[in-house]
Amino acid sequence: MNILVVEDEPDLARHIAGALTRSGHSTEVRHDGQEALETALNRRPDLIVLDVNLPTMDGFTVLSRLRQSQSSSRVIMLTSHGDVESRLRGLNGGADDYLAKPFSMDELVARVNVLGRRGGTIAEGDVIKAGDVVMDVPKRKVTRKGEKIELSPREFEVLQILMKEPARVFSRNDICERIWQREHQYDTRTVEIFIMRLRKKLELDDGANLIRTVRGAGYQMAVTE
Amino acid sequence: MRRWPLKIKTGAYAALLTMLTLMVTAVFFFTILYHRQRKEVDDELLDNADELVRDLRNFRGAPVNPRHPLSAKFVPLDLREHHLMLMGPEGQLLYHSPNLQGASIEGPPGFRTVTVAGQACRAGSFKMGDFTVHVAMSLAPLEAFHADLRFGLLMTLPLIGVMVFAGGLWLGNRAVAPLAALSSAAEAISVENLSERLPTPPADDEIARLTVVLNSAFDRMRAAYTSAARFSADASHQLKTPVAVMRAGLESLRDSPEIGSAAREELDGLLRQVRRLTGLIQDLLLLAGTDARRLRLESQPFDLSDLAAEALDDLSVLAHDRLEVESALTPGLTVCADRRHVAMVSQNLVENAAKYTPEGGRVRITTKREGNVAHLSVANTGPALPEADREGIFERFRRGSQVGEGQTGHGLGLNIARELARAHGGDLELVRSDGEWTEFALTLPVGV
Repeated sequence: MNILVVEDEPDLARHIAGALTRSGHSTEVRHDGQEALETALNRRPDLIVLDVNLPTMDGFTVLSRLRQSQSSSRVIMLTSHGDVESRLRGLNGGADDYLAKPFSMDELVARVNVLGRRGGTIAEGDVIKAGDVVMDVPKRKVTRKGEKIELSPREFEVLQILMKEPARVFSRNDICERIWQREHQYDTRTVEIFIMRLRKKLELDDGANLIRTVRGAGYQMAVTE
Repeated sequence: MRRWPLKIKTGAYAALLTMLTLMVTAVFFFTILYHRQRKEVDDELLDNADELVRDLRNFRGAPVNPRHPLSAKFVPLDLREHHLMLMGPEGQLLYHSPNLQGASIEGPPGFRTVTVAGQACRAGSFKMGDFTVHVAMSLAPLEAFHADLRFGLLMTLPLIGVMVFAGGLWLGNRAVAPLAALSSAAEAISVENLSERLPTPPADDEIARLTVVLNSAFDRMRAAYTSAARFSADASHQLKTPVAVMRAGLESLRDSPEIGSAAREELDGLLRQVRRLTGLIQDLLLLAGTDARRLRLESQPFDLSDLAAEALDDLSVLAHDRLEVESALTPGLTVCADRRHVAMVSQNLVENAAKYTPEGGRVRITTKREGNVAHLSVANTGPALPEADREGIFERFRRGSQVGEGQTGHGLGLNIARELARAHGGDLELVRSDGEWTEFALTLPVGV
């Protein structure tokens, strides 16, 4: 995928481009809003990682100009304003996703992959399946072969995170940040304990695990639909 | 008295002062009156004596014998009610009125007050030629008149007091009314509407000047407040970019293949610190939001007991086998709030409980409804918080004095938790800490 990285902080831009290149994308970097808009209109990248605070033209303006010119590039906004208002402003302005600084590079790469439909999909809808396990999200119910499995609230959340993006490997930190929203006392060991409990409840007949440990990286669903 | 409202004080002081003035005036006035009236009595006594002697000097055309006792017929009619003693030139008793019943009213020339037959009387003695006249009249009517006056005063004094008090109250009310309006208007100005100002009255009086002074104080307060709130918001935003660079750099370094496992561990530790820093910045930003009352709430109805169940779930892991966890949850306890924020509060309480409960202790999570208030309380066994720490634990960057150096956390948790609870129209309080249980309760209005 051709990705345009627009970020005025050169170091951050370099790291973003590096991480995206490592996961197989070709990248181009711009540090200025006006320049970024011109590049985006000329080269028509598949995806733009767009910072909000930019010299000469802010990210929101770049986004609206892009949409006015019928650009079909997907856009992930980066911002240091984590509040609801600027998130809504970005999404309403036509951004496809939104990431608050400071973010985990894994998270950014995962989101880029989801938007590029390359190796990453997000399970849509209220009912998610993984093998013979069915999760009804609004009813917070998990069944296997029609038989209900009692899960605690956190076990359910962990399973939901994994089942929603079955191709993605989630690090303990990713899961931690998603469940508890912020850094605190819950160390990553808490996640391990929940995964352990989940595995016990979800153990397959042949003893195989539904959740696979990826060494040095994290966890992933072992079976997909 | 010091605690009474101003108008009551005004009324009471006015009433007291009026009654006191009235009493002093009355005593002064009554004394003068009494002396004046006694002088009239004295004049009458002298007139009577004079009349008697003139009659005796010319009784039916001839003077009576000044050495011969006299009978009642010599005494003029209007003198017969009085007490009378008449003496001759050698001091012999010529007449002794029967109403004296043998008592004497003799005395040196001049006036005096005596008691005759148990009655106060005014007596006068006059030497007139050959005769010496001792005459006395009862003071009873005068005394009765003054008793009436005193009684009348005593009766009207409280009445006047009440009237003046009512008047003072009314006046006080009138004087204080603009002040009361001013104070309730000033009271309505809080952090939420710091830009509002008090209406300045048209009259150029003390109240108007006070209003102007208050308004300018509010101006200064608002300026200081907004700049402080903006500073912490800006500072937090500015901090986020370098932290983002650090995080991205450390992550890419960790993921690069040249890095050995020892260095990778070191990098993981640094990344943990970066995440902690991120948490701190987020907390500061959140506090800047609550301080400026600009916190955006994504409120939606949810079951507080579901949230408590999540907290219990976390606790079951945090407590390991170290603590005993119990719960009493009331299902269907709907509140309308920003779930993420309320979750931060409950997470904070659970973390603290897990952290501060001594090994083998118990932690209890309870949810219940009381009227229109939903409660979520987290209690743990353990030593009581020192009395001095009980409010201090809710202050920023302050932790209980018993907390050791080894404890994690940056001392914002309970402060943020309380600010978040208050931003939702609720509160977070330490309910008890008696050596048996230490219990924190989050209260939120019940939602629809």
